[in-house]
Amino acid sequence: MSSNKIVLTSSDGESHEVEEVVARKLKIVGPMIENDCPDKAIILQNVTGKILALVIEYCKKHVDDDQVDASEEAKKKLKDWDEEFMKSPDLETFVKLMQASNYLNGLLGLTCQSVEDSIKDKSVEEIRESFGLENEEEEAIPRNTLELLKTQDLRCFLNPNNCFRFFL
Amino acid sequence: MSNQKKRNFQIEAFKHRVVVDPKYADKTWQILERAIHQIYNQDASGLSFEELYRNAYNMVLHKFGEKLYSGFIATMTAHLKEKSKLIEAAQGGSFLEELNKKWNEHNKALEMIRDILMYMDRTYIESTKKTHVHPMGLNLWRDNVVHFPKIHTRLLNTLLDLVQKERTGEVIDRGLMRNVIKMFMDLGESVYQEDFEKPFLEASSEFYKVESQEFIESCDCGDYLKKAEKRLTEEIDRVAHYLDPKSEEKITSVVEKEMIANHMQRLVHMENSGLVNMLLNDKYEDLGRMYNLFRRVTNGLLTVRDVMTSHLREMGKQLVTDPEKSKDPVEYVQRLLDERDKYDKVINTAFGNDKTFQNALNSSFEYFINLNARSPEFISLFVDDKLRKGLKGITDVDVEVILDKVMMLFRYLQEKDVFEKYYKQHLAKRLLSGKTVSDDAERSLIVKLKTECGYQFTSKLEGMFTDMKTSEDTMRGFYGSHPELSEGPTLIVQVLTTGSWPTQPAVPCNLPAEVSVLCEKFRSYYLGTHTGRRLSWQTNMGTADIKAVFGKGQKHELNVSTFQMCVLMLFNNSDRLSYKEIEQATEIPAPDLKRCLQSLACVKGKNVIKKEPMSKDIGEEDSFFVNDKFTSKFYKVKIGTVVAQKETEPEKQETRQRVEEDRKPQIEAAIVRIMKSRKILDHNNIIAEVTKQLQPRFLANPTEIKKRIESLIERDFLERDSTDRKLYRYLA
Repeated sequence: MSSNKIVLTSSDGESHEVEEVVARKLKIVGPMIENDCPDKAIILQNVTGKILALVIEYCKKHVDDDQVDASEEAKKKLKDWDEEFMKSPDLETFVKLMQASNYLNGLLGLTCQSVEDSIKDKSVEEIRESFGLENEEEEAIPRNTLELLKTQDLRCFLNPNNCFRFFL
Repeated sequence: MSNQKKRNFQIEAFKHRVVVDPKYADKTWQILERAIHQIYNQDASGLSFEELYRNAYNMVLHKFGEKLYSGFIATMTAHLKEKSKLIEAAQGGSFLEELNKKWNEHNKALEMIRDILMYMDRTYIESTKKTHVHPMGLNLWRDNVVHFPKIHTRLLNTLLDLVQKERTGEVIDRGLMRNVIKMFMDLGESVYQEDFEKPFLEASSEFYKVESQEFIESCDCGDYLKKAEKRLTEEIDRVAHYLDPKSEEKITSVVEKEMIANHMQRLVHMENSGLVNMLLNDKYEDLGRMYNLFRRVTNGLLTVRDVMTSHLREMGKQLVTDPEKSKDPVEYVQRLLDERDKYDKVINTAFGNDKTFQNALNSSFEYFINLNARSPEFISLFVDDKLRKGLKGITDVDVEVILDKVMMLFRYLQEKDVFEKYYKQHLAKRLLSGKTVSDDAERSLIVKLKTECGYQFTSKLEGMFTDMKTSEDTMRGFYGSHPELSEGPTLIVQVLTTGSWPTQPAVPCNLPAEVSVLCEKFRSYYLGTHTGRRLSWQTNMGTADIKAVFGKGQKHELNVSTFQMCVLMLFNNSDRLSYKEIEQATEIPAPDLKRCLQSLACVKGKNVIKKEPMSKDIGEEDSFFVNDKFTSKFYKVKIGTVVAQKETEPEKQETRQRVEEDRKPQIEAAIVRIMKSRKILDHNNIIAEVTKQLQPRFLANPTEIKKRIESLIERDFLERDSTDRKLYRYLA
């Protein structure tokens, strides 16, 4: 892959220039380059600048993931960074980050894992509370989904469709 | 994630997301539908991927995945239906090209559409377990184009037609073929197999059935095999160029079946060009080709091997039973060696050293060599010839090669004890007449025989060599202690241990006085140091070198047998002698005397004696005198008769009888050994065991075994069981 630069622009006009290989960590970027943008400027209507910056930060950190066998120490460092990364934003940012990762088709492993971690020891009521989910939204969130989430059925959980029913 | 203190937090929707507007779905779908059309019409350049992706994403997010999915299917299907009409309308040659073109277009469009629908692919379709976009696209193509009745048959026929054309030598567009057939492969293995491979194999089978019939009527074996090989190579090439590699085995099976398996017998047995003809004419290339082709089919090699075996057996049988060929033993054996070399080469060069063929060769040789009872004798004579003169000037390595080849023939012999008897006789003659070319070669062969047959076989032979060596030492001692004998005739004695050498009856013979004096002196010397032994002179095995002066003063040294010496010395005292006089003076038995006189008087160039009358045979009324006119180019003239020869009929009978006699104690020893360990055994089993034990030496005759058992019963080694007459018991 050439060490080309790509410009990712958010919905509110913020542009970030990144290496192509970093950008491609978001699976949607590939087809966009191939189908659309000869001049390699990609406009992401669904993502604001603030979120986009976070996403790009993550991608830069993980750009070498597939390559060299990292040492145990390096792996641990990366994991620690990931944890920090997920803890630091407030709830609103966090939710938006999840939505962005869903749209962009990247970071999904991390984001889903974080949600799982945060609800795993909580009761259904506690989950509702911490995510601010009103009872009337129970229809929108089938009870069994919550139960499934509680039992940490990872497969169900990692399916972003289920995961994001919370937030729709 | 940090513990949130905020409660009832409302999550703001994105600004442009509209919640649950029924028209929303239709509007969005329309955008996408239009885009799909444009993509199919090669008009996609104006589209924004990001926008389309986002629209599809939103539809699914708002739970309109179903609509999107079914819409996609419907739109694509409609397009494909149109495409197939266009394809079907194509004329002649361009049909395939049209199909290929549309296929490529479809693939490209499908890729783009899949990218746009990526979100649906990984969420809605995943959870509903429906078919993903890309496979669905392929299925739709399959159902609407490939399986479209008007296209389906025509496509297959076009492809098969092209293959047929290529088989008849035309050049076709292989690239196009590859693309179209790859299309089948991409649509799924079952599609490839059902829609193409199966009919292809059937058509190929028909084709080769017809072609092989044509060829076999018009070609000879070699040519046919060449053609078959060529077709096989072609098919493999075809697969490499435009078929699924998995088809290679299937199509080669078809060719193998139709061209080879179905005509195996006819090919192998073809007159004037089949296997036998190839073998006789050393057609290595054809044979190699046959081997490589036939090994691909069941029982192919078996067929070849069987025909080769029966040919070998027939040829061998003729060789060994032809009286012409048995006249000269050396030539007889050389022929056998040559034949073996020839077939060895065939197996090496053309049959890849296949062990089963080696075994067939060996078993055939074993079969026919033993059809001629004189084979053991002849092989010994062959060795004798080589060790006398045939190895002169050959390197050590080559000597080993020849001896090893002889050993191979030896292994085939069933009557190895007969060989042993003759070998001993011939070796004795060689040693005593000093006629062996290479001592090393002699020893080398003994070692090989020992390795093959064990110590017992060669212990006596080795004894013979030892005797020769010991005799040398004895002679040194004799002359050392009798210095006065250095003047006068020189006597060289070989003292032979009776057990080791072939038994000969002592033949009477009156030695000339000068000689017998010496002999007596030796006898007393020897018995002086070896009391208790008995010496008897074997006058029929000795030689003598005598200096002779003929009428005109010609001086020659004659190398003669002992008998001849006795006869010649008589002429020192008489000019002329009658047969009877000679007989009386020498006391040599008539047959030996006649042979002796014949060699002295009737052989051209060696007739130191003249005979009256000048007939060929020796008559009892004949008279003899010295041939004063005798001339020879050489100073030394050899007239001895002590050369190993093919035995005469009576001699042969005698030897055979001795062999049979020798076998009796061996059989008895085997019976006793077996019964001692088994204690009780029934008749059939004894026969089997005894035969097996003696097999390395000879083939035991069941009748003879029975006789030996009876004899052993008489001598109380065995007894019959009182109740079962077929059972024997060992008596300790």
